[in-house]
Amino acid sequence: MSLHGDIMTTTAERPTASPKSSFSERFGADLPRIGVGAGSLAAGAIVWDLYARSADPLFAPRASSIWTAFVGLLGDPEFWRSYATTLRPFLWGWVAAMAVGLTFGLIIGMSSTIRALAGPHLSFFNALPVSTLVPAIVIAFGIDTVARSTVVFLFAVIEVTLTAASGVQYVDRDLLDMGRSFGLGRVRRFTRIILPGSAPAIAAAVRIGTARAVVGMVVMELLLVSVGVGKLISRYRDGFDAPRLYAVVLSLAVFALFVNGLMRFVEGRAQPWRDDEA
Amino acid sequence: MIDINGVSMTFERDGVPFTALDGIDLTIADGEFASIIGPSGCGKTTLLKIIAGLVDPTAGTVTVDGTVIDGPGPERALVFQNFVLLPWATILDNTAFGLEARGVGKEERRRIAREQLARMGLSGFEQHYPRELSGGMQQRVGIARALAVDPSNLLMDEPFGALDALTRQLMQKDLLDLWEEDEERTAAFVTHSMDEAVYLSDRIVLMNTRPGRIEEIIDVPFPRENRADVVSQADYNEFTRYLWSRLEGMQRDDMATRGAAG
Ligand SMILES: Nc1ncnc2c1ncn2[C@@H]1O[C@H](COP(=O)(O)OP(=O)(O)O)[C@@H](O)[C@H]1O
Ligand SMILES: [Mg+2]
Repeated sequence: MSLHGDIMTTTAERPTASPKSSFSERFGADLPRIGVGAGSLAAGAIVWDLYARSADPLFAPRASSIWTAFVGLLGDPEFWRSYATTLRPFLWGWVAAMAVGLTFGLIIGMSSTIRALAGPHLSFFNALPVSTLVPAIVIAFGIDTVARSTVVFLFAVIEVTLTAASGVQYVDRDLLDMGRSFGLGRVRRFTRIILPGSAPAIAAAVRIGTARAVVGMVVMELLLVSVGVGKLISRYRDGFDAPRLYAVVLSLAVFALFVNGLMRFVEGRAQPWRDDEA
Repeated sequence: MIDINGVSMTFERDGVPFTALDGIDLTIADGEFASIIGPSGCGKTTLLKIIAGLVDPTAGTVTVDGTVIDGPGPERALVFQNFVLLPWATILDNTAFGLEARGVGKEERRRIAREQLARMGLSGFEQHYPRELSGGMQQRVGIARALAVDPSNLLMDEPFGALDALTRQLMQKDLLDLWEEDEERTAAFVTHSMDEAVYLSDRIVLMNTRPGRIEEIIDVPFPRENRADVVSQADYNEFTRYLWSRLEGMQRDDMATRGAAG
């Protein structure tokens, strides 16, 4: 063995990024995957329909009648008014959860002192099912927009805080050392290293928090006196109108899918430097 | 000039103190290229971080260009083994980053960064991102970033350690050429390759482990000017053989001690 071979380290050069198609670049998805997904959903509807043929139509209405009811709802102005009523507290709660959660998360991530102080509280609230707080919220705020927004906020905020905080903690230590070695100041350390370094985690926090906020929105509609979409649900339930009831549930699923898709798109945008494989 | 005076470093490990560096005394003169070589774990990285001002020693002082340091300073710049480039910034912004940190205006720092990239043979890659470059090219950016702030002392921690043999030899040659251009600059260069140390340095600092200490400081007996030719000479072989025997002895002693201890 030569002295050279013994001491030198041989490491393969890192591969350069592979070119991506413009479609997958723009939508973070590819056509075959969308095809498989659509096919799978269609198969699910067919299985449901086969079951519904022999089941009690009150419990399991035919897929076709749900679809008809769904299309009917889309043409009903009251349906859209209900969504508008429900979405207002959703938006307020969402904005508040993002603002508070991201700010607090970044602070917790950067300061080990604050992390030590806040940690137990966060664990406690993270373990607590938020629904159990709804009665207390009703006592405190009643059932108006503030109460509704608060439910959405509480469902999302802890998750957003924890995800953002962990992102900051995993910012590459070497990058911080490098910045320090060049005399990087506090402000630039935050804007040039910590913020971009935790961008993937911040995007993930927004996505996860949004999904939680949607859950909070539905819980708020069902547990508080209903005004929006929840009012539609109770009306069709009380009238034993199963197709419309399922059509409203379907619309909530479509809404959640749409919001999640939007968030994934935003998340893909937040880290263009990342390799797909990473 | 880098003057290390009685520097010791003790880490706390599971409540047990661990001496990583023990009474290091070393002076690297202005314009000198000194390589620090020794078995892994002997404290090379720790010593370099202390000189960089990133780590405070538990005892002793480091004086750079006549001032006792108590943190990083503009007269020093670091080159890292794993490059440490900002993945979200272009090559140009990465190269200009040290200047940006020091508050140099955008136009000025980009002009300097372009110059340095050209020197490293990376013109045309300004708008690329680090992941689009090979390891060797990324380290060229790391060196360009350090040289852009025009430090009188360049600190390098196994800068070529993560590169393949061929890229490594090319980088050594280019670094030596670069070095020739500036008489004043001082270098502390950590490596675990003997050939690299002999090829690049004026002096080689041999370190030993447990505790991390300087074992011997050796002048490289070949003139700077014809390093490339010297590699084939007989006395070069003799010199590297001597270095190798010292390093081998240390490695074997270390293994024996660990075996006895564990
Ligand atoms: N922050 C730290 N805490 C505890 N031990 C450390 C720390 N940094 C380095 N060490 C220990 O000090 C010794 C020297 O490390 P290092 O300077 O990285 O050695 P080298 O670069 O020569 O391989 C090693 O045993 C390492 O585990
Ligand atoms: Mg090391």
